[in-house]
This record gives sequence, structure tokens and C-alpha cells, in this order.
Amino acid sequence: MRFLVALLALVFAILNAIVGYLFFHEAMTDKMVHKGFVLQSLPLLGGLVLILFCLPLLWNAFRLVTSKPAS
Amino acid sequence: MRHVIIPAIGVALWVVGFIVSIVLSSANQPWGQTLNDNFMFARSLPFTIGLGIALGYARATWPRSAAVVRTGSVRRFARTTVWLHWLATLAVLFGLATGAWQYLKGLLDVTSPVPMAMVYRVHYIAASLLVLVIALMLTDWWMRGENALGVPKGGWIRTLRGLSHELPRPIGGSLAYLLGLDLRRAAPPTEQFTAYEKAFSFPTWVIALGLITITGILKAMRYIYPIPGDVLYWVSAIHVGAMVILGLKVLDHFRYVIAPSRWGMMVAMASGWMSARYAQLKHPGWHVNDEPAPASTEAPAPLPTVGGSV
Repeated sequence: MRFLVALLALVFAILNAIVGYLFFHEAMTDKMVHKGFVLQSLPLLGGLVLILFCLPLLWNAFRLVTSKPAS
Repeated sequence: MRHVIIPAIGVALWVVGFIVSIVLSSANQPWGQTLNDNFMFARSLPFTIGLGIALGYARATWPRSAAVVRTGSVRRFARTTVWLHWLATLAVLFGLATGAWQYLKGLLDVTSPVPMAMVYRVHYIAASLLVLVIALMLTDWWMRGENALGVPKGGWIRTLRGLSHELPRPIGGSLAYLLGLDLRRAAPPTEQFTAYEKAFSFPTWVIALGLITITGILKAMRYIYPIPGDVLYWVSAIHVGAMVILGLKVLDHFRYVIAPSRWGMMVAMASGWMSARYAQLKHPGWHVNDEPAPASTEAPAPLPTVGGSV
């Protein structure tokens, strides 16, 4: 079961990273720059933090399949 | 008998409300599918909340059967809690996926390969399911006075000290320094739920789910009860912000429970049971009794011999 959970974690993290990248990328376009701080900061910071939060999940998914879990 | 009658009335009212809504929406209306679904969702909300309250009442007052004891295991979550957790998970994941899809479509300004009316419909169904589970759990916890996931009165300093010990050293040390906590003192023994779950994870779930639910309900009601443009602007901005926070919460929660040292917690949320050895090792403050159960591996016992389950 832990391999399945690790696989799900991997897929989930990758999807979130893609969404985070799209948020961040679009927040830097001219269209968003002219929409004001609130509307620009949400995808900008949200995208960046989404990508950052994927890293510990990926690390724990890797550790889950390479070490013996306590249960 | 009331624990049967009240949820039955709740279900009946929900069905009546749903049928009336279908009849109203099938009349000759000028609006398209998306707006029609929005009306359906908005009209069904009071009935969905009522159904959640009725089911929560039933759950809280349902006669408790004798506790089941398993050798070497301890029940951490009741079976219904496990089901409700996974239902809420499904609702949050579908809500997040469809919400991000709607937001990205506007942001990228592209044509969606999936019909947007379908995306909105799934979003409303997921939101209804989430509202139902939230109403149910809130009613049940309130009626039973359940607060195992909360910080007990006067226990914040103790819990924050436990949190500081549990976090990675640089973060935990900084938190302790900022709050003036003495980390030379040993961490308090972990109870049924860890300090991280009590002091950080659960409160932030409450904030994120509360924000997204309230703003979502306001957005859904805007065609029935007009909302001023300025208010709607902030409601929409907070809804998107709550979506990002909820996305981060799911990532963090997933990270926390799949750590190899906490795998027992993941197993508990899948089965409701945690191994007594793991509980004694990782949750020493939970008063877990690892005495073997009588005769069979799963036999009813008159009194629970292990810590309570949520």
C-alpha cells in the first residue's frame, strides 16, 4: 500500500507544481501587472509557495519507498 | 427513536427540496446550464446544511454498541469518521481541481478542452458534499462535546512546547525563542493527537475550510441576493486565496502523514486502527493498554480498554 500512496503523492505533487508554475508564470504577464496588487499577488505568491510545498511531499514519498515505515 | 426520525425527516426534506428545484429549473428559463446549476446549488444549500445537521444529530445520539477490541491494536478513529474523512477528501480534491481549472482558464485566457459548464457542475457537487460533511461533523462534535483535536483549556503553552520539540530544530528553536518557551524541558508526552495536529494542522484546516465555505456560499447566492460589487470583489479574492491555502494544506497534510515515522497514522486513517505498539511508542500520553483481548481477535467487550476514538 505504501508504494501506491507514494505514487499518489508523486502525481499529486507534480500536478500541484504544474499549477503553481502556471500561476507564477501568468502573474508576471502584462495583463496581471495592470490588475493591481491583490489580484497579482495571489497567483504570484500562491504559485511560488505551491511549488515549494511540493518539495517536502516529494522527499517524504521518496523516503516512504526507500525506508521501512514504523507501524 | 429520535435518532432515526430526525435524519429521516432531514433526508425527506432534502429530497423534496431537490425535486422542487428540478421542477423549477426544468421550466422554460432564459439562462444556460451554468447559471441554472448555480441556482440549483444555491437553492439546495439550506437543505444540504439541514441534512448535515440531522445526520450529525443522529451520529451523536445513535446508541453506542459494545466496543470492539483487537489484540495489539487500538482504535484511533471511529468507522464513520474514516468514511467522512475520505468523503471530505474527495470533495476537497474535486473542488480544488475544478476551482483551479476555472481560475486558470480566466488567467491563461484559453479555450477549455473540457466544457466549462461540466467543470462548474462538478465544482457545485463537490461543494455540496463538503458542506454536508462540515455540517454533520460540527453538529456531532458540538453535541458530544468532542475536542480531542483541540488544545485543552490552559494547555496552549504545553502544546506549543510539544510543537517546538516536534518541528525540525531550526524552526522549532525559532518558534520557542519567539514565544519564550523553555526547550530544555522535555517534550510533553504525545496524546491521541500530536502537538502539530492540535496546535497547527487542525486550526489551519478550520480557517481554510471556514473561509472557502463562507465565501463560496456568498458567491453562490449572488444571483439570488445581489451583493455589492466591492464586496463581491473581496469575497472572490478571499475565495481564491482560500483555494491556495487549502491546496497548501492538502500538500502539508499529505507530507506529514506519509513520513515513514508516522506511517501508523496513515494506516489508522485507512482502517481506523493503530497498532498498540506504535501508539505506545509514538503516543505515550494516550493511556493505551496493550492487554490482549479475550479469546477471539475481534470480540465485543463491555468497556473500552484503550484510549477513546474520535
